[in-house]
Amino acid sequence: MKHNMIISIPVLAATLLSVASCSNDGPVLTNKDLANSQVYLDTDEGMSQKIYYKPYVGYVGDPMPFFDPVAKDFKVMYLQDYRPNQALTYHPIWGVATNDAASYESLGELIPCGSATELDAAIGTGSTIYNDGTYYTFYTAHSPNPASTNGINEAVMLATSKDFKTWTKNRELLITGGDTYSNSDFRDPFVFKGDDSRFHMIISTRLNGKGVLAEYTSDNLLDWQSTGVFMTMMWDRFYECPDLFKMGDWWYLIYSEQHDAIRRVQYFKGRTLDELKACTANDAGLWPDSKEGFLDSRGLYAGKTASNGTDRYIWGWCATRAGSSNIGNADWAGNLVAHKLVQHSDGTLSLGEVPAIAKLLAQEKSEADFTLPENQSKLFSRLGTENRISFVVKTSSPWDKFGVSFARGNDSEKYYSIIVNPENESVRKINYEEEGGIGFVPNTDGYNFNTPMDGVYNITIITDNSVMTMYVNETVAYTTRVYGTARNCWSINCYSGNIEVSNLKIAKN
Amino acid sequence: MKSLFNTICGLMLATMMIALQSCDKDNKSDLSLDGDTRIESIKINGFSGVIDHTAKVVSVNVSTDIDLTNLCIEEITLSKGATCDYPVGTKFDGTIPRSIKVINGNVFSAYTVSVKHDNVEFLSFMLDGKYSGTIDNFARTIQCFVPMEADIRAMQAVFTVNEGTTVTPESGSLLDFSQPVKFTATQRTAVIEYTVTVVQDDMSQMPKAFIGNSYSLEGLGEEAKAACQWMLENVPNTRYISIQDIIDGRVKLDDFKMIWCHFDWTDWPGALWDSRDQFNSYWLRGGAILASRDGARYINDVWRIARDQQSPNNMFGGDSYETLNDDLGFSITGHESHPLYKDLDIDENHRVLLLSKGCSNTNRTLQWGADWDPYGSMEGWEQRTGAKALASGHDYDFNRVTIAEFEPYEALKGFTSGRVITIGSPAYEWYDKNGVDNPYRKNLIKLTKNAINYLCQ
Repeated sequence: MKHNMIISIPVLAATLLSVASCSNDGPVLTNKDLANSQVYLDTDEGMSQKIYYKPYVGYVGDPMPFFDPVAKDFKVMYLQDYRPNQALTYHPIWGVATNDAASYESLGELIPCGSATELDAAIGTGSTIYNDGTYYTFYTAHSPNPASTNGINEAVMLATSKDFKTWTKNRELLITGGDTYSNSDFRDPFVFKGDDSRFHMIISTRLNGKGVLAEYTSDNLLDWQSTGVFMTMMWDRFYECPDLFKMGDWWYLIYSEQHDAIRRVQYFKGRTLDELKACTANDAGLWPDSKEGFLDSRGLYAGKTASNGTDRYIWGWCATRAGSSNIGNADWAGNLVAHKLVQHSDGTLSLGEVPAIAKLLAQEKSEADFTLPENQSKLFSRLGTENRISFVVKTSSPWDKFGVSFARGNDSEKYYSIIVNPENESVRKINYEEEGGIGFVPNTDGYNFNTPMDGVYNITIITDNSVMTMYVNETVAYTTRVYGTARNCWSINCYSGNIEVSNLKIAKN
Repeated sequence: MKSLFNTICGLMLATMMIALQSCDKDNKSDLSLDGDTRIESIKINGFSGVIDHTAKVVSVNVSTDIDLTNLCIEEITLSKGATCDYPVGTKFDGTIPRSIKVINGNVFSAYTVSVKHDNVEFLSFMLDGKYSGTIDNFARTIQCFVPMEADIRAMQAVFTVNEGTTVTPESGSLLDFSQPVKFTATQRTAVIEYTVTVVQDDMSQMPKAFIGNSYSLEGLGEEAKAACQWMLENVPNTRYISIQDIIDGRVKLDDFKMIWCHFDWTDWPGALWDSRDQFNSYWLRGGAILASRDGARYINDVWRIARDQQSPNNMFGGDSYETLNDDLGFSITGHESHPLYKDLDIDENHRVLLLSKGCSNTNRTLQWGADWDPYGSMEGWEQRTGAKALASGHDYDFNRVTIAEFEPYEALKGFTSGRVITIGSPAYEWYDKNGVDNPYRKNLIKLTKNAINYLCQ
């Protein structure tokens, strides 16, 4: 004991001295004159993010947006992903509130996981509905050990609240696949009030091995009757996180396709529910638009929507990448990303910029117009942590290939590019490439879209730390993650042909 | 020097004591930590629970006429001063376990409550101390395979059942199994009859397992389920095991001489990755694997069996069913004498047919093109994969490999690895959507039996 004390006093003194000497030195970074240099800087992610929300601890999984008719704001419950999660009890439901899908207030934990022996030890997506003074949240209970929960792996359970803050689990309601549907895949309940004034619940499950959305109906939200298959899923596909709503004259089903080749958010449409259901009946494959209903790249998953009566937004998560590597595989969960739903006159949907995010980043600085010939790029000065970039590209031919690069300094050997690639003369697709490295990064590309006849591309890019969304002409949305975007330079590139760039504006925070 | 430090220590100690004392006076803790948090007794729908305070488990057996979805707490006694979240009158659905939280001041504990109907279950069944039966506690059947030379007219049946259950005839009885034998098992209100069937067969008695990605056989896809059902019904000493069982450590692969991985999904379930070390370790230490359909894919960097750690370089199909316009099989030119093909019907083209015209087929194929990249030739393929070709496609092509064998070798110092057979021929399909009376099914069965017996050697 005495011996320890003799040592500890000099150690303490040395520590105090070292702290004191540190505080006298300026941060090493200031020596680099960052404002005027274009060297690559190894930037860290903030612990939390505000525009594309991430809690200080952990990450955002499956969002369950809901417009609160009492508070008149959006409540977005989500599955809280700790890293690491607890072994058996994981993904409790947390929540945030927002008025405008651009800034969020944390509501903390709302519905906790059950104990390790209960069916809702782990929790999956659900949905909320308000009726007669009570909020009802139906959610997926996911058992870590079906052998101990009557062979049930997944089932639907309920929690209720009077104020959206304090939630009580209902112990009488338990909806399982029973002898009809799968008890392994029985998840993601979505509840809505139909035109018949009854409550309807659709659940992603399987019937004889084939994916279906099962339907249940109720008059009081507590007693539910199975009313058969609402809609079948095509081929070997599985639609997770279904979201059903009517917008104008059209019914829409938005879902997240689980199949790993096309793991993205997609939709179907119909003027009636019957027309909507016919899209997939007998594997009909009646796509809603020329893009096979794709709404975004793999950078957005588990997207579901909510409307305040005027605007409808979609919230999904943008995955972090394994090892914070720009070519790493997508993890489960990440940041909460919102887009605004854009409904076109033919009923087709696309995702657009959230207006309130543009307002947050309104202090723009304009750059002069310029042209870029083949194999040329123009490097721009260092971005902030949150940025909005907009510009117009005019191509000289449908084969012109152009893009933007991030995390790029004038000394970078590798950098990361989002490329508007001509797939053929009339179709383009956004690709993600590691230039100076592996090139095309699989599973990160967007979807095919029609090349604009006039060769004009109105491009808007918003970045918050490493999360990035890009919009092209109100028809294409592309979400991805590029570590190192914040506080580094970026470029516009022309790979082939000749492009004119105009109206370039940059706003930074 | 020492005395100076003693003085300093003494002074510090004295200061701390004073500080602590003053704390006691001014800030008595508000935490209440001295109450008990036990469930002393509980009664649900008239039936008392058995409480295990160490495991924190309450088991309640109720008569078979009680509706488990609509239960009610009729009585609950807790430690003095404690409250719980399931007070008297609480209604709940008891088809799944529930957790009762008992709170006393600032301490709590949680008890898991399981309510079950009176029920009987066979836990093990053995004939003559060496032939283990396959128990189906849902169908209430037990099937036991014995060798052809066994005298089934007098065999001793030894079994175990769940606690509280009695059975007639009793365990240890010498019985005649030349006809199925009925056992009656009783636990309070539950009286259930089991049928035990003994089958004489020449299959290996070594312990084997069928591996699937679902908690139980029922949750498997059609193809895996058809193969698994056949194995459980026809191959002695076989168990169904889920990958999750392996990950969670409930089952050890080392307990099995061979395992059959006949996977029918075409995506990559994360569970395979999570269990990769268990599979690799099993194989490194001599465990044999029959890896068919998409099971053949995981010889890559998941299980690390192929030397080049690559899946077959040509995989396709599996998306949808088509009806076959012609018979489908694979050719075994040059490999006719391999034990895999013993007693199979082989046609004049050295072909083994497995599916007849009219059967459904998904054309799921996992094969190698030995002459393609990165192998260049059969020799290059053998070198890089460490495998030997055993079959080609329906039409013979020297460089196409649909069945391969990975022979044992010292992959880990001091151990000999297990033998692995991969089958990626599209004809090797167990589920026939069209339900055709397939004359070649006996080939499918015999091929599989040969493979299992060969891997059990």
